[in-house]
This record gives sequence, structure tokens and C-alpha cells, in this order.
Amino acid sequence: MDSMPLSKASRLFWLGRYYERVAATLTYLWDWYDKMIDGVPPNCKDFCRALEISCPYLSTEEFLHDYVFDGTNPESLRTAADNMLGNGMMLRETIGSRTLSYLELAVTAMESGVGSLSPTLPLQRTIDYIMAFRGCYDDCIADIEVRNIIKCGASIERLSLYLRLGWQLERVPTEVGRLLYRTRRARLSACPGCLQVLENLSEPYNDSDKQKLLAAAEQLFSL
Amino acid sequence: MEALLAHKDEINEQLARYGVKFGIYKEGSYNERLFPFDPHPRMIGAEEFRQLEQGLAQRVVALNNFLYDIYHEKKIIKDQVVPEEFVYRSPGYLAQCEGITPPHGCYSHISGIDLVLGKNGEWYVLEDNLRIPSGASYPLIARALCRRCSPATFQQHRVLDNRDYGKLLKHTMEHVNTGGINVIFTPGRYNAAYFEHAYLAEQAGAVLAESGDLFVENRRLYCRTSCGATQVGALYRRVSDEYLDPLFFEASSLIGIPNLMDAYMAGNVAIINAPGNGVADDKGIYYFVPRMISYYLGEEPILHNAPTYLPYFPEDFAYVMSHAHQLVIKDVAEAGGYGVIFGSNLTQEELEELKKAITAAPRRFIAQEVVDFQDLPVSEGEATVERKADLRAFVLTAESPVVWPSGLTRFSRNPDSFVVNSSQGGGFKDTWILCH
Repeated sequence: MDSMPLSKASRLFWLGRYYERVAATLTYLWDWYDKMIDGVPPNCKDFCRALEISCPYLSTEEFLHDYVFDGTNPESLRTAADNMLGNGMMLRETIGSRTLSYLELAVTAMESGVGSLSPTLPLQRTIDYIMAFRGCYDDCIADIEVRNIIKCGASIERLSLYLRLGWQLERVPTEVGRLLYRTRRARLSACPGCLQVLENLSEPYNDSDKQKLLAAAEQLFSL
Repeated sequence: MEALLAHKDEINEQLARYGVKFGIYKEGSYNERLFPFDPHPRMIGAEEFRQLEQGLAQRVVALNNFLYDIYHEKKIIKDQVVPEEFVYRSPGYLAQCEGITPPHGCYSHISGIDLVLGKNGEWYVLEDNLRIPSGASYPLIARALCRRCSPATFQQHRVLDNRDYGKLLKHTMEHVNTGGINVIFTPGRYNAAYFEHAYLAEQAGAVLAESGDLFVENRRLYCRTSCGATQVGALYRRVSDEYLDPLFFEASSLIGIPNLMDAYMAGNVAIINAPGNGVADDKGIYYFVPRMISYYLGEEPILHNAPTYLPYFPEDFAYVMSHAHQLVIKDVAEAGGYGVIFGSNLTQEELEELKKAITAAPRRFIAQEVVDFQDLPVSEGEATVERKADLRAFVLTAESPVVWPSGLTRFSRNPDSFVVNSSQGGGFKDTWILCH
């Protein structure tokens, strides 16, 4: 890696976490919008409990509006999107203006969904732009360590969502494998105990294993 | 030109996509705004630019000589060309910089000179900015995006390419680099010009760093990087003098680098622009720049100042008192378009108050004739209207001064206003230097 201020490693890592949080959570909530049409909304309280966030929402409809779009709510996806862009802006010279522009577009698309009667359309564009961002940074950033620091953040966020929401659990072993591979290539100093848990736990996971995996992933780096 | 104007919305969409914004603090909160862009360029012909180039280079050389002189022998004061109180009472004069010679003796590596074009076709310098002049990034990125949106326009018009600013900046940094990496030192994400800091770092291939990334050890400046402590040879600082080094200037500064000045004095790092430059771009010192040119270079100034009066001088004081209603009065301590008062906008009572303030502290003010400068066309909805506009020209000094063949043209969006600053709602245009 070229001379890059150490503070950038933390920003790269959190850039990865935030973009994955936005893209993966929107993907998860995709079905909820559909279920709302038929009047059988999922329970947002369970979702909030799993993510350990507050649940002031009186209905799933309110949740889908405020949790997704409210930029004044520090736990919302909109705030995560702002943090994604904020970290990206502070990395312009590292990731490049072209790559960064996809994050601007993703946030602008999200902003355009406020009050929309068809919110999934702008949200679909948000996901599309984040996917474009992923492709662009993978293609444009020459420094393998920089790419892998971002990917470590994304892997940890994905594992966190899978394990907390009990969603796509079949993908957990693959994601753990990716995280370990990326950790080595990012050359970040990782918590040895956490690495041990991630390396040694294997399927089938019981509830205790899932808790251990979650803790190990989330505490792997102190960035 | 119609082709370019037809793409106004697309160009602005592109600018939004690339995050071309500036920050503004209002009522205690920070907001980012897109910098409104107008596609009508300011066009300057080749011959006119040649004259501007010569005048700007001449001015910057004289200002650099002045800075060296003021912090060393002070001949210009001894020879009574500039009164000493204008130097020592200037908030930009830093006694701590006495006797320091920066690498290659260069103080102002990046100079932003604000000009207006009078209706008589003559350019007037309104202000010199020798500390941290901002704005080059905006026409730089706008040009690239305009070319993308309307390639036909640039096939039809032969315009000098301005997209080498990053290379010019890199060369300017390399020239004074004392050994180590080039760093752009930003106060952080919530600085009004953060976009520019990050974009220029990208364009110049420099490392963008904040105070927490930098430290001084053994009179050398280092950056904490993934490769360990890496020495910094050139620091393009976008932090004001007073906050640069808490052990040397403002002790409460949290955005500075302790002992930076120690490394600078040891000649182990170049600071771009040099600390202490504020004494030369003080609104009071501005009056003396034409005299500096004659004094240091033995030449007649190529570019003129706007007609200016210093109430400090009795004859100017008398003129200002009797003509305040038709002059523009500027508080020398203010910047960014603040502290600019048009006498014609004041009531009789307000005018008397202003005169009292000038009488009480004549050194605090300068007065200028209102230059009747040319309006430029600006798109407003479907219509084209005329608005006041200035030009910030950028002069980069390495071996010798080079005038960037472009510049930031700022315009007022208010039909009755002369104030073009972005912080006061102004927009910007690209500046085309034509090949013919």
C-alpha cells in the first residue's frame, strides 16, 4: 500500500460497513414493501430487537418510512447512507472521484424516495448505484490492501445482518471464509481470539455458535 | 454556444453527481450546498490573456519580494514606501515569522488574484489572496463535465485546456519539497472548501491528511501511514495561519500540528503558502501594491488597482468624508464579502455612523470608487439575464510564476448586488482562454 494515513484505514473499513448495511438491509426489506400491499406486514419490533436499535414506530408502515428515509434518526438507513457518503468523501483521493460519484447517486436516489408512493423504485436505484460502486472500486482501485479493507467492512456487516436476522444463514460459512481471506490481504491487525473463533467454528451452527460468530466478527478489528 | 447552454441541466446533474459542493455555517449549523453553475463561460481572448498573464506574474513577483523584505530587511519601510503601521498593525503580519526564509525564498506559491473587467475594457485588481485562495477545483471539474455534456461546443471553440491544474500544483509542490511526500493538510470534512481539498489531492496525487495524521519529531514532519511514519516534504496547508501550530500561534487550536513551525524553521518542510503571507494581502496593503511593483521591479504596474483611498492619509480622509455616499467602504479585517458597505445603500443616519467609525479608526477601512464592471450573461430559467461577475485568477509559482489558463468566474445571483461570494449565494462559471 502507498503512503496512506492510518486514519484512512478506519474510514475505508466503515465505508464498507455502511454501504453494505444500506444495500443488504434494503434487499432484506424488499419483501416487506410487497407484503404491505396485501395487508400482512412483518413485525418491525422483531427486526429492531434483532439489530438492537430503538423501535419508536407505531406501525410497520411508519417503520418503512422513518427507518428507511429519516435522516434525523441516527439509526436509520438514511443516516447509514449519509455516513457511507461521508466516509467516501473523505477518501476521494484514495478511491477516486469516479468511484465516489456512485455513492452520491445512491444517496440522491434515496433522497428522491421521501414521500414517494412507489418508494421501491428509488430504493432500487439506490441498490443499483451501490452495486455499481462495488464494481467500480473493485475495478479502479489498484491497491489490493485498500480494496480488501473496504471488503472486510462489508463482510462483517453482512455477517452481522445474517446472524442477527437469521437471514441467508446458508451463506454464513462462505462469508466467514471471505472475511478471513480478506483480513489476510488487508494486512490489518485483527483480534487473535476472534480470528480463532471464525477459523474454528463450523456448521451446523447452534444458537450459541451464532452468538460467538457474531461477536467475533464485530470485534475482529478495533477501527 | 447554444449546444452548451442546452445542456445546462445535465451539467448541473453531473456536478451534483461528483459532489461539487461547498459548506456554509449558518445559525450554528453546517450545511453543504451545490455550487450553482452557469454554463455561459467567461471568454478571454488570447491577446487579452497575454496582458493579464504579464500583469499577474508581475504582481505576484512583487508581492513575493515584499514578503521576503518585510520578514527580513524591511527596506520598503525604511524607504518610506509603505508606512510601518500598515505592516505591523496588519492582523496578517506574524512577528513569529521574522527572519524565516522558506525553501527557494518563495512565500506565495499559489496566489489567487481577484479582478473585475471595467466597462472601459480595462481589468482592475480588487484583491490579492496569498494565504489559502480557494476555487480552482470548480472550473477544473466543470470543464471536464462540460466537455462530456457538449463535445460539439469544444470542437467548435478553440479553448486552452485547463485540466492540467493538478500537474501544475504537483510541480509547484515538488519544486519546494524538502524530501518526502506531498500532503494537502485539511481542517477536515466540515470545512467550507472540503470538496476542493479532496479533489485537488486526487488531481495532484498528494496525500490528504488532517492534524491527527501528522506529527513532528526531531524537527521533521511525518505522516502516520500504513507504511509507518513517512516524512512530509511539502505541506499544502488549507488551514489558517493562526491555527497551524498551537505551540507557535493560537494555543487553543485543535486542528493544528504541534511544532510544525519548528520543522519549517529548520528547513525540513515547505509550507504552501508560507505562514505570515496575510500581511501582503491585507486590504490596507493592497493600496501599496502598485508602489511595490515600481519599488522592487523598477517597472510600471501592468494591472491597475480599483481607485482606492486610505482614510489614514489626511487628503484621502477628506475625500472619503465628502464622497462616502458614492464609495464602497471595506473593513480591512473582514473577508468573504462581509464588511463591504456601499455608501449609496445607506440612509443619511447610517452614513454619519459610518463616517464616525472611519474617523475613530481610519486604519480599519479602505474606500474604493465603485468600478462599473461589465455584466456577464447568466441563464435564469429559460431567460438570459445580466449579472455582476468577477474573476479569480490563479498564479502558481515554482521556478517562475505561471498563470493558469482559466480561473474562477463568480457571479452574483442578485440583480442589484455586486457581491459574488459563494458564501453569499453567488454562483460560478468556467473561464475560457481562447486560442485566438
